[in-house]
Amino acid sequence: MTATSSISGLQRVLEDERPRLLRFLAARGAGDDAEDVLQDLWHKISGTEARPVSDPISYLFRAAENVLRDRQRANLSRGRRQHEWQDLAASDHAPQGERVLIARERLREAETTLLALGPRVDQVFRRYRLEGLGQAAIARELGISLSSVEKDLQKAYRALAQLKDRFDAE
Amino acid sequence: MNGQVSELLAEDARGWVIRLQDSAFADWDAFADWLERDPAHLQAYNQALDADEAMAGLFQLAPAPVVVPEAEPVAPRAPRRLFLISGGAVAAALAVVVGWSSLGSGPGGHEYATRAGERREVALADGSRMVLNGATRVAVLDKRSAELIEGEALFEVRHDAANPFIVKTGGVTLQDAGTVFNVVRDETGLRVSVAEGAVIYQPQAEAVRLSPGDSLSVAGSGRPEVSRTIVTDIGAWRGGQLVYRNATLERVAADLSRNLGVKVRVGKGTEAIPFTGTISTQGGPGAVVERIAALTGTRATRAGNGWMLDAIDGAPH
Repeated sequence: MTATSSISGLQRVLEDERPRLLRFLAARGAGDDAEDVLQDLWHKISGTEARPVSDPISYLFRAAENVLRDRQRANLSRGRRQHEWQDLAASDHAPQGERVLIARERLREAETTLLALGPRVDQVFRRYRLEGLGQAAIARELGISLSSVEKDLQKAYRALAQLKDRFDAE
Repeated sequence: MNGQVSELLAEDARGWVIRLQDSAFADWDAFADWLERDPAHLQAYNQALDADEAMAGLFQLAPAPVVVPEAEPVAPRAPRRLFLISGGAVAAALAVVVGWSSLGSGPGGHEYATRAGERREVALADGSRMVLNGATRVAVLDKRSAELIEGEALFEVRHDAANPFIVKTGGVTLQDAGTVFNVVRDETGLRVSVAEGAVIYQPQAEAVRLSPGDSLSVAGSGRPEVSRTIVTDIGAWRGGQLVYRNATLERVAADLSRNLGVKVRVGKGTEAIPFTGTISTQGGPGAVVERIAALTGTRATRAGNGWMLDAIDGAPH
């Protein structure tokens, strides 16, 4: 594609970075969809020129990752990434009320698991994963080092992954 | 269910999931490098992503989309620590590893040792890895065999059916028929837990085959007993957690000594108190020992540099 006046700055960057983005998408498992993902991305960013972006390249990679995930989620029914236990609606065995109870019970277990790692780990996890704060901002807010934030996050994610494995085995 | 990913790789993958969620993340080429290094990395990453989205989904009904950076300037990140060595990097890292922790032993072998409370990861020449818990000594005998002299180590082995990896410990031989297993040898005896693949205990004698989730223990009597354990609990010590199901307090004390770096002993009559639960080894030895005392109905007192757990009714030690 040629750069014309109708192409946004981000789209120009996308064209320049096409090989890097394609390589990333291939490594990320996009397979034959890599070109389609970039095409989706191209349309997505066509309306964003009014908004300055601090790091356009990083922005495009992240947006590509998001587009890819959306597509993979849409392909869920093809089997690979199934959250059988989270989406119990897939099975007709458990009635609605029971499903809600199970989800609530699991949330309670997840909260207990996090708290058992200490109040700070719990707080760091919530600020980062649920509220979307950056690691640097959390470190500043709590007056701790960046590596402490990292370690806390690793603990929290590890414990939650182990809990999920247990749920899966149930 | 997805195929099992080794815990070491799962930890790497979770690291990327965490970092990518930061709106300041910019190291996309490094992420692509990591993915390209081994096809198993993508599977591990997707699995970590699934776990993350499922668990975060419990907290908020819809999974949070990746945060897109907005217009505000973002502070540059501090340099990151080196991540777990994996895949193609093993050969390069090996030279360094041998250099820093080898004590030097017999010809053809190297011995690796940790102090109590310390951890070390060692990459082996064949691409296998072992993670040493505290107060542990392991001699690497040759490319495909090692001896656990004392302590605890998690082995992640490159499987080769024609040339199996062997772990010797206290006159016992363990032959790998798969990839990831944890071995403990301390005063309470021997314990082998298999996280992935399979291990054969004493291939030339009893030849007990252990599958994922199997845990074999040999106490003083010398008779092996096999019980079941949760795969993800195996090697949990690496993340500062000790997980038990009906363990004796004596065994808990031996594990604590190795993990905390102080000697934890049990008084007469308390050795066999059963314990089920998870102990965090964070927060300082005193706090950890007090917690376990409270959980098991024992009393913790200082004994020299270490701690003693006694029955509350019993006479003071």
